[in-house]
Amino acid sequence: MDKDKVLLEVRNLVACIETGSGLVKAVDDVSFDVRKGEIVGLVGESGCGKTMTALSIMRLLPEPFGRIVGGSIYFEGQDLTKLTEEEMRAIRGNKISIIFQDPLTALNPIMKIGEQIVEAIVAHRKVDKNEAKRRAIELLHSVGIPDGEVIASQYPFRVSGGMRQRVMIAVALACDPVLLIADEPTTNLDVSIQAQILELINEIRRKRGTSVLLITHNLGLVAWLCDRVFVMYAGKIVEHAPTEALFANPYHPYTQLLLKSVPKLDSPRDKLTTVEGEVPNLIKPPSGCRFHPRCPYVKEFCRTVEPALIKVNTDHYTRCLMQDSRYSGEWK
Amino acid sequence: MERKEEVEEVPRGELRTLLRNLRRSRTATFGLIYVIALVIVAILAPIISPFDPYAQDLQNRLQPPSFPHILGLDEFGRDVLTRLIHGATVSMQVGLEVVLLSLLIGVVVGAISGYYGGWADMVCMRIADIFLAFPSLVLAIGIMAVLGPSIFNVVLSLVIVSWPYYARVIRSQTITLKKMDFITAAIAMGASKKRILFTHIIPNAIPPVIILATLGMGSAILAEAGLSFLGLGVNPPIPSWGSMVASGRDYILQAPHIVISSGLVITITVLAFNLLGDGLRDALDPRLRI
Repeated sequence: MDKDKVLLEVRNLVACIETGSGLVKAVDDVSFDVRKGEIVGLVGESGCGKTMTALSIMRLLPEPFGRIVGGSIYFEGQDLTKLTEEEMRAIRGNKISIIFQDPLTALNPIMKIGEQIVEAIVAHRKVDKNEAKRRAIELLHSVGIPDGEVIASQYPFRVSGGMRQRVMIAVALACDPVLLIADEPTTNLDVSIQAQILELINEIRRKRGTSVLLITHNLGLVAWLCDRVFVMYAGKIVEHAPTEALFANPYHPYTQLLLKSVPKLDSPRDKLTTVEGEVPNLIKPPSGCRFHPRCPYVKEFCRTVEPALIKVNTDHYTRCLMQDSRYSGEWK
Repeated sequence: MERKEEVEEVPRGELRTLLRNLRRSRTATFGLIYVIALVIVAILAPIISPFDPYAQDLQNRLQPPSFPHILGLDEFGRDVLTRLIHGATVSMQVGLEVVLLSLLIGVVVGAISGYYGGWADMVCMRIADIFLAFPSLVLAIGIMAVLGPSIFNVVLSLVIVSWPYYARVIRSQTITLKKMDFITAAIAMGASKKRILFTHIIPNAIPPVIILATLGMGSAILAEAGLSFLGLGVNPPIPSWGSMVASGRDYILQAPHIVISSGLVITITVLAFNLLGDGLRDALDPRLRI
């Protein structure tokens, strides 16, 4: 397969959102790519700009407060930031689909599940109603709902959370998209259901060759599912690498702390490590390295010098002055 | 595995829950039963009314209640009960038409205002404000004075004064719904603006307006009675509760049964709609749901 072919390339994306207390640069010069058939993780704490990045790709930033200010998003050769609303509509749900965090609120409460899937199909495909219905039930089967006929005639509030998330995935897959953006798809589900949903996402990639951009704060999911990981902090990508390399050898102190704060069964039950401090206020982001107020290795120049992404290994980049040859001596 | 979870969830049919909650309140139950009975009476008026509403018996005019004229005769010797039953048809027809047409205009204007916002919102809401600034019955009287009395004109004038209320409620509903996750999800699915408005926003915006519509039925019936009382409503000799009160007023001392029976019917009907509306509001209140 043409696995190395880049499907989505986000270049220097800057997205702002206007809040009551000022303009927030929620996504600040973010670049990453997703290749065909690949699952890419975008990891970070709440409020670091992950969801804003996802919404930017879909051009769904909340109007009129949010907007893309700079950069480009290349998808199958065209720049999504330059498309008209109508051209974008032809891509949404058709080529790129998104699964939202809360399956309870993301389904229309007064519309039967089957109808919602049918709607997703007929939004892009010219098929008659019976054919669409048949496909909707097929889709429900393929997301692991065996009695699709029964579920299709139910209203969303009648089924469980896990089932609703499966329905959301069925809606997202209605037109066989090439890219699936999953924004915290399992956050609101309990653990056993989480595993099933992740297995389902993995299976979708395997069977359909769909690329997946998985947005999460859960490093466990990333380790299990993703081929490559981008770690985001305060609107910037601070480290990215193939999953194994990142877990084996994290370079950025933030990544290191994140990895340490994942509870493990085989380690002694001491107190869990946490990343001290709070996510910085992005209205007035910290000077220099954005992580310096929370960094355990902070040095004086970290407060003033803004680090660039530095190549530390094949495909492994980090945004930390420790890896910068000009400053590396300081930590010895 | 998940099937179990599904069974645990209490099955709640929306309508069944609504009726169960309604039945908790005695007054709402009364309202509901009265309204249903009135609808049946209004539809079956020609069949169930004991006499011809236009047949005059001038020799026995103003006859007090007695058998076989249970509620007596009016000033032309027409059976009062029969005319009340036929008046129900007129009242219900006016009430229903006013509510449905106001709702239709309200939904269109309110949804456009709320969904598109900006310039369209500004224009629609200022027009609504102008209509709301007039005392509604005075405006209706003015319109009727220009148009002349007829059932159609009554409906028209009452729609003109009542649509802004519906438009405002629908608009605020639309604005709330517009920000909901499932609307974003529908956009993300590639649904067009038109589709989002018609299949996602409007159907979700209507249920709360049902309360307003129920209360609106009561006030439309009252307004029709008021206009007919002033001689600006339904043309005589068509039976209407309001005009029955008006003509009975001249004989209030000799034959009080005409004013009392028609006045009571108006009062109880409006009361029943208001009780039902209040009951619906409580029944639809999510805080009361289990």
